[in-house]
Order: sequence, then structure tokens, then C-alpha cells
Amino acid sequence: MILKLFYLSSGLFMGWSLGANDAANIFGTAVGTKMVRFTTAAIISGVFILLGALLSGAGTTGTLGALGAIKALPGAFIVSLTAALTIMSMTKAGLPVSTSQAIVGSILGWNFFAGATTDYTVLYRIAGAWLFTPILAALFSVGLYFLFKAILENIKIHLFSLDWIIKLSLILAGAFGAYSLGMNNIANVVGVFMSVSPFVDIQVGDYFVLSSLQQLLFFGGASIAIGVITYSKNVMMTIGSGIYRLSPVTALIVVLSSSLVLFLFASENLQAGLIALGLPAIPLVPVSQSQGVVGAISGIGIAKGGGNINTRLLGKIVVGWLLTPLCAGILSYISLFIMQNVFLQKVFI
Amino acid sequence: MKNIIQNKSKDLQNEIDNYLKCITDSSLLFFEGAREAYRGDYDDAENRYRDISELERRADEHLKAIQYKLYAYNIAPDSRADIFELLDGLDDIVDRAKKNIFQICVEKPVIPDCMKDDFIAITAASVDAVDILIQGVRSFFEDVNSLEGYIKNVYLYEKKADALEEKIKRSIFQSTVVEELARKFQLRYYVEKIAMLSDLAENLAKKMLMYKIKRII
Repeated sequence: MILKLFYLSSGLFMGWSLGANDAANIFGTAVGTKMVRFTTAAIISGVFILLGALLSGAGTTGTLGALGAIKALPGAFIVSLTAALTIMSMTKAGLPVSTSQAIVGSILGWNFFAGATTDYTVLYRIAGAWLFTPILAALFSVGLYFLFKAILENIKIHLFSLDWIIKLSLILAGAFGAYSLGMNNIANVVGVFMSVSPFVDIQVGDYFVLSSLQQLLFFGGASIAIGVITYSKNVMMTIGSGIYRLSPVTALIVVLSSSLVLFLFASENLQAGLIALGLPAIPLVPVSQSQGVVGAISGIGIAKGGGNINTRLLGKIVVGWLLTPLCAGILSYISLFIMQNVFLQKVFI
Repeated sequence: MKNIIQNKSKDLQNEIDNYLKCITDSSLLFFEGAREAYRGDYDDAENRYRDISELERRADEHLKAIQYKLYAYNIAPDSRADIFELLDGLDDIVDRAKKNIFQICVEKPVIPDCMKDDFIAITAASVDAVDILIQGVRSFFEDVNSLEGYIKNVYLYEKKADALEEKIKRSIFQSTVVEELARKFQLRYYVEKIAMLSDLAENLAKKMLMYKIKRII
């Protein structure tokens, strides 16, 4: 069991780093501009990420499971670890890297190594979702920008009352953002362990069974929440006063837009609703929140007249799209080879 | 968390309202006091000076309370530095009004009859600029979209005060009504100090416009 938990540790590390970095996208401006205290932000993020992961995290997790059904724990360990290492090195290089792209690259590396068939329909669906993430976030932020502008230009409200409303809205949007992050990105943390979960179903009372997937989602969600609480403060402060210096209202628009995108790509209920109405379903795919944020900020730039679009940053995203899965895939392939031939562990069955 | 859910801004709003009332009252008292002094009623002007001093003391207390509440209640953190700078700038207006009336009461300048109307007019223009500025400050807090109208009016009164300042200075130095150079300098000094009130109002109006731009999303 201890060995099994050790193999799970790479996923938990991934969750921890995701929490440390991505919570800043949700509460960075609010905390950086002192609208919301860090403790409040950390508690709300932690609780809602966990709730999102537990209640609605199964959809995107299933998609990653479908891309590569890793049936050996050491293999899952390597896939998760190499994705995490890729994120670390790409972050150091200053690229707005996505955990989703890293984990997909690592899974593809495993597929090649194990000779498993890659489901290209799933892969195209995932790649399409990545492409649409910043675009959709930009569209949402343009719409929200004009909506907020129209409201603020036509209401007569005291500055302090408006400030209070914005503060409350930032908290609510942050809770929604944390929930969306949990439900969408939990797949990156535990998706590869779905077929090899070290847990067994636990019967709680007469009616309730805590399934091994739910336990996996809980640990994954908890690792993200711990990442938020233990390490996200500095990142939040950097975002609040650094490159993404936004006003509280624009921060609210950015959080809402990027969170809506994550929600769209993770909600099973929404997908079922669209199918029931005979409309095309939105695929359940883990997407990058950071790239959603960049898209949303660009959207505001467009809405303001296009002068503020950071084309260099957008270029970096495109490079990240190509480089992240490629690097993660190659690293995963090499690491699987070492794990199999040096440490003599079965990385696929 | 409690700080966020509970809206404590009402308390601060009342504090700012009381502070603005002190500024408006002191500028109106300054006008009354100056007019009385021009007429030679220095006892009444002295009373106005004492009233303005009391208002200045109260304004200082309100300003300290505003600063404390802005930070302690964590209200409008992104614009509180601007808010405080604006309100602190208004305090300079009360100080100027108090100093002006004090100097008039102490030095008792003799204003020639032919210039009295112009002295009253420049005082009125300066006080009007301050009065409109205070209305603009209220609008900055309560209805920022109508702020620009007030700012334009402050500029208008400041220009009027400037024109009167120039006219009075020319009268002082070009006419023979005031003969001694020392008296000429003394009168010029008062004219400049009275016009300074409208200059202070104009500077704050400019700053307020910048603060408004910063608040646009």
C-alpha cells in the first residue's frame, strides 16, 4: 500500500503545484489589490476546488482516461511526474504553460511507448478545446466588458457601495472560479490514475458507497487545495501588482470569463442538457485556466480598442501549445524506458 | 470575512459628508468675513475668523477619522490613496481661508472705495469655485458620471477670479488712488491670496478628473 501511495505522490505533487499557481488566476488581483484578504481567498479557493473536484470532476477525468488507459501504477507515476517536471521547466522559461497540455503530452508518450492505440477523436477534441479556450474567454470578456461598462455608466451609486458590491462579486466569482478549476483541472491530477487507483470502494453506512474514483478525486482536490493554502500567496501578490495589474472590475470580468470557459468544458449536466435539446455537445476536456485568463485579458484589450493586446504573450501561448505536449511526450517516453529497464518496473500491461 | 459581508461604508460616508460641510461652511464664512472687513467691520470679521478656526479644527478631526476608517475598514483599496489625497487637498482650502481672514483682521488694509466692488467680486468668484468643487467632490462619490459638469464650472470661476485679479492689480499699480508703494504691495498681496483659493480649487478639480479616468473600467 505504501508503494502504491508513493506512486500516487507524483499526481499529488501535480495537484499541489496546480493549486499554488492557478488559484492566483482566480484571486490574484483581489488579493494583490487588498480587496480580499489572502486567508479568505485561500479558504474559499480550497473549499470550492475540493467541491468542484468531488462533485463534478468525473467528466474531464473520464476524457483523459479515454485518451490513455494506463493500467500499471509505475506507468501512471511516470506520466504524472514527467508532466509536472515539464510544467516546472516551461514555467522557468517564462511560458504560460498548461497542466492539461503537459499531461496529454505525457499520456501520448506512454501510448507510443506501450504501443497503445491513441484515440485520435478524443485527441482532436482535446486540441480543439485548447484552441477555443482563449478564444471563448476573449469573447466572454468582450461581452462582459460592454455589459459592465453600460451598467456603470448608467447607474447612480456611491463609490463605497460600488466598492462593496465589487468586493462581494469578486468573492462569488472567485468561488465559482475555484469550483470550475476543481471540476475541470482535477483530471490533470488524477486522470492517469483512474484505471489503477490504489483505493478500494468503502461502504459508509447502509446506503452510501465511497467509490475508489471519489477517493481519488478527494485526494487530488485536497492536494490542489493544499497547494493554494501553502504556496499561492506569493503568486497572488505578483499577479496583483505585477504584469496582470487590473482594476477590480476588469479582474472580475477576467475571472468570470475564464471560469465560464472551464465550467463549459467540464459540466456534465450542461453537456447532457445540450444533447437533450438536440444541440452539439461541448466536450468534457481539461483546459488551461492561465490561457483562459490571457484570452480574457486580450478580450478586454480588444473591447477597449485593440491597443492593449499583448501579441508577444499570445505568441508565447501558441509556442506553449506546441512545445508543452511535445516536451512532456518525449520526457515521458524516455522516463518510461528508464523505469522499465533500469528500475525494472512494469509501466504498462 | 465579516468585513466583506458587512457594509461599513455608511459610517465613512457620513464622516465625509460632515467633512465636506465643514469646508463649504468655512468658505462661505470667509466670504462673509472678507466682505465685512472690506466694509471696515473688523469686529464681525474677527468673529468669522474664530468660527472658521473652529471649523478647521473640526475638519481636521473628520479627516483623521476618514483616514482611519478608509484603511481600518479596507474600503476601496484601489482608490483610497486618491480619495485621501483629494480630501487632504480640501483641507488646504480651509487653511488658506483661515489665513486670509486672519491677515485681513490683523493688518486691516485700507481698500479704496473704487476697488471694493472688485475685491468683493474676486472673493465671490473664489468662493464660488470652492463651492462648485465641493459639489463636484460629492458627485465624485455619489454620481461620478456627472462630475465633468462641475469641473468645467470650477474652471470657469477660476478664470473669472484670474481676470479680476489682473484687473485689480492693474488698478492698484496704474491708478493714483493708492499712492504709497508699500500699500500697493499690500493690496496686491491680498488679491493674490484671495485668488489662491480658486487656484487650489482648480488644482483639485484637475486631480479629480484624473481619479475619475482611473476609475473607468
